[in-house]
Amino acid sequence: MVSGPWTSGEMGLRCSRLRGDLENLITAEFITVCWDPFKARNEQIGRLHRVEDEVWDLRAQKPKPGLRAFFRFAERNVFVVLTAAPRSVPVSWLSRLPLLGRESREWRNAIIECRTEWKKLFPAHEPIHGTDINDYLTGGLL
Amino acid sequence: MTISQEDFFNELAAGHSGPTISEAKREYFQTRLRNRLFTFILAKFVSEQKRGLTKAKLGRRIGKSPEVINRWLGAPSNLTLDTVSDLLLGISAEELTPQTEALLYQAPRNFLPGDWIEQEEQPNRRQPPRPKDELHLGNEAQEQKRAPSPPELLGRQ
Repeated sequence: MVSGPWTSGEMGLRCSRLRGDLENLITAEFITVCWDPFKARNEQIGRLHRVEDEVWDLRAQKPKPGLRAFFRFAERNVFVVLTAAPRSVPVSWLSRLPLLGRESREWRNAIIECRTEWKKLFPAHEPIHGTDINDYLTGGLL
Repeated sequence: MTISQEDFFNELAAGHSGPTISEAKREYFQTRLRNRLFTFILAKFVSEQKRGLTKAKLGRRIGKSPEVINRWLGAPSNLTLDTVSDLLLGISAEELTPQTEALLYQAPRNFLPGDWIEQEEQPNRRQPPRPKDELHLGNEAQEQKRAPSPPELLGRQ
């Protein structure tokens, strides 16, 4: 999705922008964070319900259709993006159902899928558990 | 993941008579610019917070509601050139000084993975030297953080 080459049209625009946003998450001095699940408004990343799952999303809201890229923190300032899904409407180039409402089955499945992919890649390594944004990220702004 | 910088910049390297630079590639660089500006403004705001600036004060200073300030300082996609100007005026009484740097022919670079990733033996692998900063947006904040090159896609450092 993010390595290209990108086709013309919606997919190319959406995926190239997602790549830019992912790179920004890696390198930006500050990132806006929604710490409390379901409270996100404009923040760039958010912690997802249930917090003990340790699954976060990168909120790529514009342009439509919005995407969510799911990730976990392997250690402080090191995250692994594992899956992505459209937020509200289906897209032909991503075989995932839209996530829809905040407690939908699709949201739950997306979080489970992220955990499953993590297990496949890092069977002996758990994501970090923190009690404060600084446990996860330098420069996280709540 | 590492992506060849040479491949990525093929379209750009073709010169003035080259093919049309794809819409997706342009979108990518638009996103990079938007994100850099956003981070730059956030850094300014955080710095001024230490001197007593709040979102409410900033809103009053530039005649905007707290909701608007929250939106502008929430995500890069909410910024326009006009909002960038307003925010810099209100936060630090500054304006941007445009300056660019060539994308092509920079030294390759990438982050090394963390120790927790089992690696194949790579005895000669070293972190490549950093090139000079790519963007000069003003004064002190830009020295603190360096913009990514496209091949960097693993972990904050």
